[in-house]
Amino acid sequence: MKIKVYGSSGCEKCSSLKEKIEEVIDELDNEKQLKVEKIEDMAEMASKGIMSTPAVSISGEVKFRGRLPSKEEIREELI
Amino acid sequence: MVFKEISDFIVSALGLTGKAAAAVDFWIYDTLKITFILLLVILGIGYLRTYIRPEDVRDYLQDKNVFVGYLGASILGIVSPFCSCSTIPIFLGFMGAGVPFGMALTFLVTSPMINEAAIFVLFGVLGWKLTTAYIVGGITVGMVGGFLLTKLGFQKYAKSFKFGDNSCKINSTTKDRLKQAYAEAKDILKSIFPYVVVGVGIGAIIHGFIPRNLITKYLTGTLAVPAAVVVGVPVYTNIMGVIPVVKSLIGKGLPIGTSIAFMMSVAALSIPEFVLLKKVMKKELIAAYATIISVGIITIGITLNFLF
Repeated sequence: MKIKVYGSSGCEKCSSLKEKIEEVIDELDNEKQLKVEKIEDMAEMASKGIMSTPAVSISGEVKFRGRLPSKEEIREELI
Repeated sequence: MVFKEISDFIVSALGLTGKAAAAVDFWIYDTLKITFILLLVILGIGYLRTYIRPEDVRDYLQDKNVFVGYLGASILGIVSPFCSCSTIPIFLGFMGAGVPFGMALTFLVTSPMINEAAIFVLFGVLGWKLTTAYIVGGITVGMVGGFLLTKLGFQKYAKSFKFGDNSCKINSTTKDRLKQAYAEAKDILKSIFPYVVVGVGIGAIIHGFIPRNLITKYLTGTLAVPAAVVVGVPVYTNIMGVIPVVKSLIGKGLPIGTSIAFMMSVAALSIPEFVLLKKVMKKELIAAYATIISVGIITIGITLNFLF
């Protein structure tokens, strides 16, 4: 399962969201070998139809956009 | 207001008098006041903003007549998020969905130049006249800039992106929205606060120590307006950091138009902004964008100096 966090460089919320997701993965003992990647490329964001950042996709599907999901919400998506 | 009492108390507790007292008083009072206004506005607007989805605005702008469309785009620029890092994806979304190029540009120009928190802070610090001039001036520069760049045929220098679609749902409960607003307010305040402290500090030094005649002698001519714009470009800071500086400059006799021109150029034109734009525009368009905005800001500044 590949997790991508979308947000251009300079977007502080986006970087902090990546860290938050990594924390959740650690708490889940990372059984599924999850990896989080930060996407700063505008073209890739556009191709996913993302207008508001931060956004998160899991296995290619956009799950959150334009807001900071809570740890519980992230956990639900990851289990 | 209670802030005045707090700053008076600290100044007298420190035993300061004269220029130092005036500077420290300015520093404490304005930092408290601006932070307080920011907190309220960012929380309030942050909550309201959860109801405005860029996707809806995009759909709204698609089939509007020219004037309404440009005006709508610039107003959207005002309420859009602070960081230009988050306005560029919206810009691309507009372009991808067929919102006219000029309107998308108007949004992009207005967004860093005017924002809702700056409006409230300006109003609290400098009064309604200057605030109105700032808003009307900013919207005018944004609308005319977007319109002209289209008419001059610069659309071909925008890089094209394929814009996809997703069916992701967005939160909707009140509790969710409040939580979003709180998280956003915390985030924004954290990133703006240092600018406020430093900006008010510079304002305080000007307020306490720069003699009035230095400004009235050298900075009241018409040439001071383009000079203010040129000085404003390399200065990269949040507009919240500029407001207190401008406040004390106006107090020392800097004309209103010149002040507003300086504020706008600091906010709208900066090297990091150009670097970001480089990802979605070719350099011809960035150069034209910078030129048209500069000329617009200078015109607004000179006009306001003439009016006030």
